[in-house]
Amino acid sequence: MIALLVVLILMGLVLFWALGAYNGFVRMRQEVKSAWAQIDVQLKRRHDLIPNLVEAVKGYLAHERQTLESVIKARSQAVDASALKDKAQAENMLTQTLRSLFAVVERYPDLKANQNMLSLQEELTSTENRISFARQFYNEQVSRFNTAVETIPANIVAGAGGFTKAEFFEIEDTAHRQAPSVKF
Amino acid sequence: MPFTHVEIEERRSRTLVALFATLVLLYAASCIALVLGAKVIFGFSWGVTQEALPGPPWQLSGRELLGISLLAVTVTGTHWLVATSDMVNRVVVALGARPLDPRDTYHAVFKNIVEEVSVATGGRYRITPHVIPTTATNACAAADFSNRAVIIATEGLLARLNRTQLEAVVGHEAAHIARGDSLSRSVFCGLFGLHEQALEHLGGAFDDGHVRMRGRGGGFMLFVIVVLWLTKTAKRFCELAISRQQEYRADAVAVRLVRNPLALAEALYVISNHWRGVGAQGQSLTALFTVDAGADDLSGHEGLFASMFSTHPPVEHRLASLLGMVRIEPLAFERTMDERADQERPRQQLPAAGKAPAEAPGRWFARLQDAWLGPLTLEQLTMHKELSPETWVRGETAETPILAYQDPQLLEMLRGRHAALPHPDQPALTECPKCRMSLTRVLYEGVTLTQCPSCRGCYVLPDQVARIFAREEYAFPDEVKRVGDLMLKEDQTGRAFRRIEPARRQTVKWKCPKCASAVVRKFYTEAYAVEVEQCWACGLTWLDHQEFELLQYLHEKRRGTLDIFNRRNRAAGDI
Repeated sequence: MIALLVVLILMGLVLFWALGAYNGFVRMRQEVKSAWAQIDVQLKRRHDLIPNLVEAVKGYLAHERQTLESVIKARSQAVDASALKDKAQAENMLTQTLRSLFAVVERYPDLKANQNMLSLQEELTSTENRISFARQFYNEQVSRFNTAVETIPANIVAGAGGFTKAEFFEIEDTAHRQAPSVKF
Repeated sequence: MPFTHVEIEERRSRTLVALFATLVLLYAASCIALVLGAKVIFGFSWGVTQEALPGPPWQLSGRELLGISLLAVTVTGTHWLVATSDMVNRVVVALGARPLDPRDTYHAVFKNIVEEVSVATGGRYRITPHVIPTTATNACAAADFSNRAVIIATEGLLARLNRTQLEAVVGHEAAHIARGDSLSRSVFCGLFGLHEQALEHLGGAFDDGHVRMRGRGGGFMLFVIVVLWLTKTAKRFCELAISRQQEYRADAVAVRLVRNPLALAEALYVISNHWRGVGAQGQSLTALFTVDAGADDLSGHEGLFASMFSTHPPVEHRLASLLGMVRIEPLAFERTMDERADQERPRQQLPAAGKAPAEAPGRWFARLQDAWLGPLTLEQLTMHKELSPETWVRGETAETPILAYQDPQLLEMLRGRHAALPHPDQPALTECPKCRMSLTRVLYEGVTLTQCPSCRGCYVLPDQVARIFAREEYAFPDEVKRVGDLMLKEDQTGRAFRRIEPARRQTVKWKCPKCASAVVRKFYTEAYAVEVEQCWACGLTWLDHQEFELLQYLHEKRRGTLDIFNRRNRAAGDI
């Protein structure tokens, strides 16, 4: 009788724990999703800024057609990409072309000092930072989720509940964030 | 983030429960003290004769204790509710902070940075940026129970830090918000602010002679003051218990958020070398400024006494731990930072007025509706509604584009068409009070000013002055430096006796375009004896050509000596 009671209590405890673990997974998965939505918002913000940028510099950079075209092309590729891996790749490409565009802009003092250009540049810098912060936050959430999914014994609940590891949003370029301006 | 949301919530409620309990205890202690005071001083016995009481007058009966406990809990509850309602707004008002000016370029950058950092925290908090119009260098954060938060920076901070440094500072403040420090500190300030205000008022009443220390009433008053003072001291001790460690932890979280320890170290160094006071009202809000914006603190000092009684860790220790992360020697870092401080500034590139192509081109390209339109004839161009003196135009044959008002023909046409080009937020400012030209908007050190294109005088609003004083973007023209140095020299030798004749003060012919009040001629301040015309009612000021730069030069020159002073006696940097 007592043994049955003990077994029942133990089963109840295990069930209770499993429910908690399951709910924890659901919550974490939701957090990963909302973190991803943040990245998406910021990426879209960047895509929307680029036409304005191209428009602003077009008049000055008549001889730099190739650079401008590569920016436009990279943007449309980034807009079209849907799978996470493609998206990361296309965004990296876009970041690189934008950087080469700004390198070109440096050569045109008139354009560099243009107020419109300055504010666009500020907006883009800000958007780049937002993307990288959103990515950082997303990856932290993913890492938390993945750790939870793989750790024993919660991985049993994860397997039964159909929770699989989430994918990181990675960039190849580690020097992406602006380096500090002082050199020692 | 080192803390998950749940952990933060738990921590937060723990701190607040502790705070509530402390407050109940404080009130209970105060009540006991007051009851004892009433009994001992007044011989008050609640209708029971002294003989019927079980012991001496300082022994409390069970009924009294129950009454005191009930009273303490009720008073604490009421106090709590009153103090925590609308906390963020009250902090903003008390500090004199303003919302950002969307047309100011420095403010635009600050707004972006706050939004970026709030993305880094996962967008959980609704953080609104605010500025305090002062040239001091400091920042603070406040938060309330509904996840609403503000990050408040001074104009001086926005002007002196570059983008990455400002981002690190905002990261530090966001760390305080995310860790729940800001909330507990806001509650703390709200709760104890009332006591301090009461104490200040009472002190003021004594000084003014409204309240006298005589007889039993006086004794009771003294008692109340002693109790309030004890509360204040208790608050100070609570503050010390929480603050020092919080700064180190917030630095660590900021590095995790923004991933740039060097920028945070730079920012700390810059802030510690400048005046950090913000003119906060009373002492009750200093706990928010990750602390002590006041000058009489021990935060910058080392030693047992300082570390026990100051709210902030010495900046050297914070710098050392940050620099340790990037493996830079503190001494080498300080040397380089000091060298950087002396860098030369560029001169402002003023659009050269009247420098037009030799031959006025017949047709134009114009940058309208975000695209280059053209070629347009002069008539077509005139018809266009969007054309303004600041529209970029390019003659058909010209190589480089210019601004519309730089071309005499277009300027003439624009003057005829636009009665004025008012300041976007100040529609009344349309015409130069001196030469009757239509005013144009210019951007000077990130501030939109309304300037006369002809005589180059400009209207300045009181708020804008602090912003421009704080910013050090451009160098000064030589003539400004000459006049400014002369004025300062005269001041030092005591030869200057500057006075505007009363008769001359009233000679300004024009009325204030904003409020139609009289405008008087006066010195900007006694310390900065630059003659300006100012509306006595709303403070709108007209400054002639280069007067603003002169004022700014005088201000910076004086501040320069202040900086050297501060560099020698470096106090703690709190951000």
